[in-house]
Amino acid sequence: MTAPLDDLPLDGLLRDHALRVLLCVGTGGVGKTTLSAAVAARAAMLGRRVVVVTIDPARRLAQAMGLDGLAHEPTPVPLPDAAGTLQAMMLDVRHAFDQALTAQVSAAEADRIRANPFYTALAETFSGTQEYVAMEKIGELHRRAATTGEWDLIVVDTPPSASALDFLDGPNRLESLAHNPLLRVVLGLPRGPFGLLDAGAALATRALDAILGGRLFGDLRTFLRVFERAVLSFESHATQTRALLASDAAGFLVVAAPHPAPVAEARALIDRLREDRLPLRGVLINQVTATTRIEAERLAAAESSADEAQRVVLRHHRLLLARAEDERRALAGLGRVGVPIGLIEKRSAGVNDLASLLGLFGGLDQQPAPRADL
Amino acid sequence: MPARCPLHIVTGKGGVGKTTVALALAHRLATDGARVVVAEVEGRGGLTLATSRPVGPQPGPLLDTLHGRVHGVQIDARRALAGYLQRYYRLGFAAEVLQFDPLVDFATRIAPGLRDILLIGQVTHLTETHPDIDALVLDAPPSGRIGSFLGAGRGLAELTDGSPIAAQAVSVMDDLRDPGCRVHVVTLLEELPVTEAIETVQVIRDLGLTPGILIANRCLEEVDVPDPVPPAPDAIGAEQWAAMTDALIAEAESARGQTAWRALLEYRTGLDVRRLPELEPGSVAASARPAVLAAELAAL
Repeated sequence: MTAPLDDLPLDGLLRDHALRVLLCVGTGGVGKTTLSAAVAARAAMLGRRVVVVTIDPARRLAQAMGLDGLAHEPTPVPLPDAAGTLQAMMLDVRHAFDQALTAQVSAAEADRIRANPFYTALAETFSGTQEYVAMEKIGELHRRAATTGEWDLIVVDTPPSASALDFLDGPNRLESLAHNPLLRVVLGLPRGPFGLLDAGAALATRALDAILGGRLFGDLRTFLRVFERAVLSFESHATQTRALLASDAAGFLVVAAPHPAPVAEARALIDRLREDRLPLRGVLINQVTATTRIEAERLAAAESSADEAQRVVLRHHRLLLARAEDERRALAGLGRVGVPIGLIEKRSAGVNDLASLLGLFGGLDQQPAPRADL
Repeated sequence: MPARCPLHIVTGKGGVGKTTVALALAHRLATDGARVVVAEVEGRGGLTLATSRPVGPQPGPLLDTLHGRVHGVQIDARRALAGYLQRYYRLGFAAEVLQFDPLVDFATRIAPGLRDILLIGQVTHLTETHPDIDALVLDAPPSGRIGSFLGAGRGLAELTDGSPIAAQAVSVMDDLRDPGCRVHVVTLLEELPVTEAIETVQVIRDLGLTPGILIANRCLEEVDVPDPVPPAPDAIGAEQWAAMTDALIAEAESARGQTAWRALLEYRTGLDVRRLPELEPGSVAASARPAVLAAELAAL
């Protein structure tokens, strides 16, 4: 595709050894998991030592990457002819949350938390848990890479969520819960100099009792007493990870599809990344319709002389042109936001093995240029 | 919720066109003067994006239909909590609680499932505040989260046995298990969405809810590739012509692939799959899409 929009220097970005963490963000259904895997494989071809953290990939894609669906630890993915290396792992939220918890509190305390009915529900359904766990995992892998040198690039496929913004908001949501002034009220702790007014505290207690009932309120108290300590001790890590993600060592790629709704979401996400001063490196538009280039006069000439069979081919070409035009219109707004955009053409065959993953960004036949300083 | 008012819950993997299909379904139901309300609960503004009409906390006009009325409403957690408190406690108390943002945030997030119960409760409550509604369509969360969303009542009822909210949780589950409530699953005929649709139907059944229809969105028209492939017309070079015929063959393969995914989906779920066509560019204005797709639903 040679549209003027297509100006994202992806290889250049991946070759930049200052880049240590690359996050693919976007709404569900745009192919974020596939593109994360493809970007990671491409980076490995270019000489990086890459680990890709992925979430719930399609079974065949997982198989192609050598994951059996249970790899919570980075597992090598064989990549013939690659100048670098590729490892992949799946993020299992419950497993990772348990792990993070066990690392932060004593074994006895971890057991007490796990035994509380609120914990299971929270670990699985709270709308910030996945994002929190992903952040924690990024931090952990980064610290490990700094110590062992196993990887020099971490590629992250962010969790599926209602809104792409959840990835940015989720961790804060869990922390704001821990810092919510009401938590202290609920726990019956002293509220401190900046705590609530007594009137507010009394109202809160009454309201929660009314909504939740006495017994639930009691269970909640027990749970939160332990949970508060765990969350507060996660925080120093989270603060470090957030600093990492805001630094030049990080990069965000927004993934979208060439249709009005995903493009609108991508724009909101771009605005938000800029507002938060997070390093936005570009937008990848997946599944763009590919068309054969033919001058309009020649196409018209062919149409006027075509027989019935030729007309079938030409009609389909017109259809593709119309689809591409629709997509261009949907993408027009993105061209003005000043972010490099990469277009990934739609493949008729599914992207489900390493060759097709690599094919998304130029293909195996393209010899990667080794870096002088490797 | 009175059983006479059907509740149609629409879910599906992200990006498959859930909102579009929810609107088409609403349009389809709005015949013979019927009054249909489409509710969204995620605050994403999907209904507004699809219709270019503002959607607020009270039902307002959403689609133009010939024989009925389709209104849209956005349900948010704050108002849902307000509604719950007003129904079960003093109005003044509710107003007081809502003045206090940390409390609203805390109350609607802390107990897992509470938020979802409040949201669903507020949706079903619409039929009491607006008794003239003939059918409700809920543009529900994507299928990845539909189990925890629709099953929130079950979990919360177990967790909170005997508390005030438990009664609400039980009543929400009763409403969802009413035969008038059906959960429709939207999908594309591709590997990932089909796999997820099969899992979703199982989740719905495990919760004791009634699966409705499976709707395959954006189905390609079958393509007859001329055999033999015709030679290039004079005006077009051989290489370009080869690329064009390859594109046609690829499209035909995609359409055939869709037929296979559809067969698998029907076999694994035991449900019929209804196909909605890919609306090709220029063929239908965005505002007319629900009506066109509704006609397709009707023809089935």
